[in-house]
Amino acid sequence: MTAEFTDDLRQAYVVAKNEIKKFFRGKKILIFGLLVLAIVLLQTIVPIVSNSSYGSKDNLLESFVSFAILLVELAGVLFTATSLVSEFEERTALVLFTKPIKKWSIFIGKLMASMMAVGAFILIYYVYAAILTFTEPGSFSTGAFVQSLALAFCAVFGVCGVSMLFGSFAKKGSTASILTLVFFVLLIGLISGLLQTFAHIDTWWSINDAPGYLGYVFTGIRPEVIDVSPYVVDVAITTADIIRAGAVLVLWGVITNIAAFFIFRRRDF
Amino acid sequence: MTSEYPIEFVSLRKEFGSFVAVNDLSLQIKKNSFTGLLGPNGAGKSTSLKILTHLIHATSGEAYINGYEVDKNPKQALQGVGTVVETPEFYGYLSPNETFRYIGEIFGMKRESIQSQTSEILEKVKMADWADKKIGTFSKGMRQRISIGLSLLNDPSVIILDEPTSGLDPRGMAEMREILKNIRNDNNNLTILMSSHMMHEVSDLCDRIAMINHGTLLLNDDFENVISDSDTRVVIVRPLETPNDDMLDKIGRLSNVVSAERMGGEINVRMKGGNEEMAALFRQIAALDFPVCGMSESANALEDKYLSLIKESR
Repeated sequence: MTAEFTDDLRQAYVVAKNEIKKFFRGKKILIFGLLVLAIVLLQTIVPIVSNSSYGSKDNLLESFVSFAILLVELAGVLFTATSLVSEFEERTALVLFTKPIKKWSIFIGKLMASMMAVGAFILIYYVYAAILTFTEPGSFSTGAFVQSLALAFCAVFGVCGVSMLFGSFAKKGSTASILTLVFFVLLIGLISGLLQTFAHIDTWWSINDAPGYLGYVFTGIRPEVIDVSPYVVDVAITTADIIRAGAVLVLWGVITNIAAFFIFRRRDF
Repeated sequence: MTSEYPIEFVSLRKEFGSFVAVNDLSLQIKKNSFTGLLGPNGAGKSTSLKILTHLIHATSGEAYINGYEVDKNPKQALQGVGTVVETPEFYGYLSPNETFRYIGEIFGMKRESIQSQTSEILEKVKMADWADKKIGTFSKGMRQRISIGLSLLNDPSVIILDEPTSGLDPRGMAEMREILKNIRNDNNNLTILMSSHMMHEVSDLCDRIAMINHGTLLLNDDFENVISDSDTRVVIVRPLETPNDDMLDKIGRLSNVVSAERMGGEINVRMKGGNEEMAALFRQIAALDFPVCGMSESANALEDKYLSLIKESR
């Protein structure tokens, strides 16, 4: 590792530190915190109010982690998508980009900050779910829990990559956020659904499909839609391929982050 | 690229679609000079400086700082450089102290060094009382002073200023010029390149002039040469009493004076020659038998030169 490379990494760390400061001093963190709190409270309180329970520790975890991807995507929309574009939109690039720092240090710093912030939320969310399992019967599947958490971190990388990509070319933060939201909520789901319905293609490679494994790891099976007709939806139960799901998410992260970096690097102020 | 010219543009060209903003610009900025980059709106001043500060990419050609090509080695090129491009926005959630710490850490400065330099610089730009307030609440003038201050962090050898007084009120402009003068007086080993279209500002601060129009270099010379090359220079004389015909007549008969005209409470004296002739004229006017409370050179000579060059280049 050369001294210059080490210094580039040091600068990326400085950028990441400032970015995290930005997250925590901004209003978005409040919005996101409230959303997380609402999801957590609903999942905790509804079974109590309805005098019911999840039935087992694994059921509780499966239910909780199925919302984890929603949180990751929300964080991507709120924080990551605006991370790069804000430097152009708020004209702070005039301060940062004119300093002796390479574009890749800025990019890595911002990506790291997003991943650390979102990752921290996810970790807290998982730990909360794990603590809550003490209210349920059955045994705690440590292996499945760790696998699901690892997959969640892979999802953080993938989602951050897609969000960075939109942020690398959008002119405004709001545009980047809307594009990211539309991509995750509408576009990728629509593409997957159409391919499954009309071409009978298993969309295991979709960034919307792979995060399903966050919950599948607790049952070891994955429902696969094989046919949709006006009245019937045929679903095949297949074995959940955890490694493949993780690889899909990481690959989404790698490809989108590389594309985002090259667009950002050549972008004029 | 020699150390004689810390800033150098070589056949620089920048196109925005079909519009050519900078056209084959080659320009060398002398070491330890304070060069004013003049040109009308759309001449390519800001574009050239943005290429120089790695904010945009040239279509072709190169920009160098201290021998490093900015586009290929931005980190090395910008290492000893302070910049003020337009009116930058700062991170509103940070105070000046935190901003200086952030940028100081980017430079790789030690914490103690950042702290000591920050206090000194904020004092210099008259922002010490605001060191811990959030920048988001600052006026444009205050932000510009922070910006100038930030450009001094890490003891730069080169400072690049893109219209540093643009958008400021008259008081803010005067304060900014005062700060820039002090910076210049404090350190003669600084090379400063400042774009502007305010003649009086450039006359007041710069010792060299570069003029561009349509992205092409028209002139790059010492301020004195540019002025003396001009047909006439204008001296503004402020008599204590209202100017009368007798005063005009007496001034009009002095050596090197071309004409003397009344302009309100002042007398505009057009003269030929360089600084020595001007100094002699000042002495002669002071020796006349009516009291004078002020004499200064008007920026008109530079303006005349500027306008004639711009007209020729159309």
